[in-house]
Amino acid sequence: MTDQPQGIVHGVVEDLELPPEPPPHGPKIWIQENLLGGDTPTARVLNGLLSVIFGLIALNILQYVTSYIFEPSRRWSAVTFNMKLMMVQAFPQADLFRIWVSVGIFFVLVSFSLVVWGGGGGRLSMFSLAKGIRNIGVLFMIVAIMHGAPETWNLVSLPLFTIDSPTAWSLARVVFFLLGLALFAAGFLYLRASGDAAKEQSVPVLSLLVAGMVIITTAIWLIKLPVPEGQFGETTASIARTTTGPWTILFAVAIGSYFLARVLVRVFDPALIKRILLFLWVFSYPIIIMVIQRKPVLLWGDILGGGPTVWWESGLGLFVLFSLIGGAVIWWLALSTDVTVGRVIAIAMGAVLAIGTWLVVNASNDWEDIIRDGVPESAALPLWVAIVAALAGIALIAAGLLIPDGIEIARVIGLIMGVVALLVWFVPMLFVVRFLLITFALTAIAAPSFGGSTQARVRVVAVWIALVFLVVVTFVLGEAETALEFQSTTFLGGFNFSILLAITGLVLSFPLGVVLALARTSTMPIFRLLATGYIELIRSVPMITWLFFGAVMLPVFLPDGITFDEIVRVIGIVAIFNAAYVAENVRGGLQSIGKGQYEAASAMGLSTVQSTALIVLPQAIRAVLPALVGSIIVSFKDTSLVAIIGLADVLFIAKSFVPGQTSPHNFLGTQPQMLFFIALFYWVFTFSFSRMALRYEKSIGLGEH
Amino acid sequence: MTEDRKPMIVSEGVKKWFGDFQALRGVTTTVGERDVVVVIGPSGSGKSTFIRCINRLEVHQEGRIAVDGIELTNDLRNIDAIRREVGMVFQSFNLFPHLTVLENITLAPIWVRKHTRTESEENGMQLLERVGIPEQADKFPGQLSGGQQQRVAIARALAMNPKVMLFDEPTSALDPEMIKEVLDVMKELAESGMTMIVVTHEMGFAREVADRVLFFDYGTIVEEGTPEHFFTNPQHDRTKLFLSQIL
Repeated sequence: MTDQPQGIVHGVVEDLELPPEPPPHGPKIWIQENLLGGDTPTARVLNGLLSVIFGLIALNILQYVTSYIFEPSRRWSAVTFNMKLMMVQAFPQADLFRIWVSVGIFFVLVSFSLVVWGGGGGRLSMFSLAKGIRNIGVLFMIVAIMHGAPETWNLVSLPLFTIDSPTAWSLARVVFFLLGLALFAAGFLYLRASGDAAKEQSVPVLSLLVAGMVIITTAIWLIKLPVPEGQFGETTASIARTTTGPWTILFAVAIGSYFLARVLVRVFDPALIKRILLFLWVFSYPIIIMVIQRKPVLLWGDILGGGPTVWWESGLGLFVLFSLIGGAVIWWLALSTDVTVGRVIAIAMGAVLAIGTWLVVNASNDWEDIIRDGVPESAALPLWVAIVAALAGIALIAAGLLIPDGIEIARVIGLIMGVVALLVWFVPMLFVVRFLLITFALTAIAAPSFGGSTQARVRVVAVWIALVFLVVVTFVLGEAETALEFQSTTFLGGFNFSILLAITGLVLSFPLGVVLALARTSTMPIFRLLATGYIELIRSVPMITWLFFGAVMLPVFLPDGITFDEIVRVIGIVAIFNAAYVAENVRGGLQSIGKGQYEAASAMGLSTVQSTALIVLPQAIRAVLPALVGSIIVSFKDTSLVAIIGLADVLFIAKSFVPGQTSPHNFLGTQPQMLFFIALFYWVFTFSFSRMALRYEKSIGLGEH
Repeated sequence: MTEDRKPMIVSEGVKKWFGDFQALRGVTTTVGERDVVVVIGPSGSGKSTFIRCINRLEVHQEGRIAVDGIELTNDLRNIDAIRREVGMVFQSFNLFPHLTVLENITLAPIWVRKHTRTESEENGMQLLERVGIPEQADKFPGQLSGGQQQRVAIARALAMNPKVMLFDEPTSALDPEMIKEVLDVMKELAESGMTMIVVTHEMGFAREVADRVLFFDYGTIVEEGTPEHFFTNPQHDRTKLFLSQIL
């Protein structure tokens, strides 16, 4: 008997093999894959039929749209002629440079950010670029053909409007067709010539952007746009120098600052530039709205004190007082290990609160009257506010005397400041002080969690001083008169106003929404109840109802002495409404975070606030980024609802102002064109935003973990 | 045995229920300083629950636990103090996927110990060298193999400079080829004098490194002793059965 083998050695395959050649592409395969699909002959026939039917429907829709656009009787001059009105409404002509400067600042910041964060904006593969060009070419050719197609080509004859297009090939139509043919040929030939190599090659997105800017700049200097008939007897005219000039300069500035940024990141520390840039992004926006565009009349008295303003009610006085005293307290709170200091701070703050309340009540009331008649309606402080404030003061003093632990005292201080911040709304005082106290309460609550080393303490105090600065500056600027001479209720109008609504509403709604989401998932029933109530109430009522509420009813509900400008109220409503949706999205993200993450964080000794801010929220927000982008887009579009309450946003101007004009030009009946344009306008913005968001999501590797 | 050493973890009659189910039925043991204690037992025997009680990831209902003289009570300050002294390594690593490896390690030193960033990063790099993957510092956890992730998790726990390290089945989620690299790090740690409690099914590790082995079943310590005692001369029937099934 031979030896029975116990095992066989197969060894290792050393050589790498290439994958087998893919089957050759050809029209037949393309048709099979894209038009017929299916695995069985029946499925292929049915799918082919569906492809033909839907292809015809698509062509039909295209024909309707193109015929509508290119119809000679369309008065597109209503759009081109009223561009300024739609963008900025009644902004004075002499001050228009303020708008251009605002756009310029935005361009510069974008250019710098592209260098610092975007790594130059990434690259686009030649393959998709060539395919895009080829497809646009096909579209152009189809448009040129369909534009003149006889009505009998219509698959379905819908009485939307009558098509009265000339069947003859006008020069413009021929040019359009040839342009399409050229684009198609360029894309097609490139793809043919380079084959698979096109997938390897890529161009920087940025150079495409620059090319786009150059093309647009050239175009706006050359093209002629329709103008209302009768002006100089012409039907088309070049774009005014007051438009082309600034745009050319802006594009130059954008490209120039890109190269400047590239030099700067080599010379200076990129981390420093990032920090400065972040600061500029945050602060340029209020500066643009409140200084550059609003042109406030600043009085030295409001800033430095003097005249009718006492020094501590002036901007500088408030800033110095709050940043010094508050800064000192927060410096301690950020590393609350020194019990003695904690005792002093708690007792001092408690004393100020309790004695201050006493003084206010004492000054405005006669105690004998109060004992006899109760508190009069006219009291400076409502009774319950006085009681709560006094109790809070006493609690602080007691905490300072009794608690032997600095961290505990810090917690009590943060908590009681939160209570005080709520109370101040019912106490007559400078409006700005209310906001400063609320800011202080929030900073005080956060300080113990984010303080620590000297470095971290400096950072916390720096954030506090920056916040005080922001609040004080906002109020000083906001309360100053504007020097602009305009003929509407606000200096903001048109698209400029839509942008303000969208950005401010979103910026405010995000923190609110995150807090609501955390509250709704909290273990504490009172927070859960309040947050759930808020979200369900806000979401269950249409936005337009809330807008009416903000515009009409809110002033009635606000306490005496507190008034808001209509724009502020509307921004508030947008923020409050959007926050409910942000909250629900973020809540979804919070639920996706595994229990292990919480356990790891607490096993490392992170506090709840720290693990929420550093571990949970960043992951939760990343997880729901696509949904958040969706809600940003929705809320951007929803700002157009303010047209219904009569605010002059871009939609309102397009829908009502322009078609209502009869002199000097008659734009009656141009409403369809205007709405068509607005739809396109919104589409361009939201589509490019969602594309950018998609690129960003890919760049941070969303969905990879 | 280790009676001469200062007690680091004291547990007396610790009981814990999940609803009506009693997970721990009175666990009493003492772990001395520099001890390496390996906890073995069938799944559901309460061994993970026990070590999770030590840093308060689970709350025990009866009995007492003290770590380095600090009583584990409902007082938040004690819990914070204990968590600063006790490092934990999980079966599923639980690294933070949105932070780089180095950021994972420096997070707690910066925010809990309040060290500066530079200092924490230097220390973090040293720890990464100790666990043998300094070159991975700037990668994200998702880009690492399981064994590497678990070594990062060990470095992350060590960054807090803990007095005690708890390991909750650190190699159970790993491919066989990666188990050794994690066990090597743990052996090195044990030799350096770290107090460790390790829940594991790695009997080789227990035999080689442990000072003492606890055998858990039905929520209590059924038998304890030196590895030698366990693997050569187990006494209780349940222990014999368990060992015969896994060895």
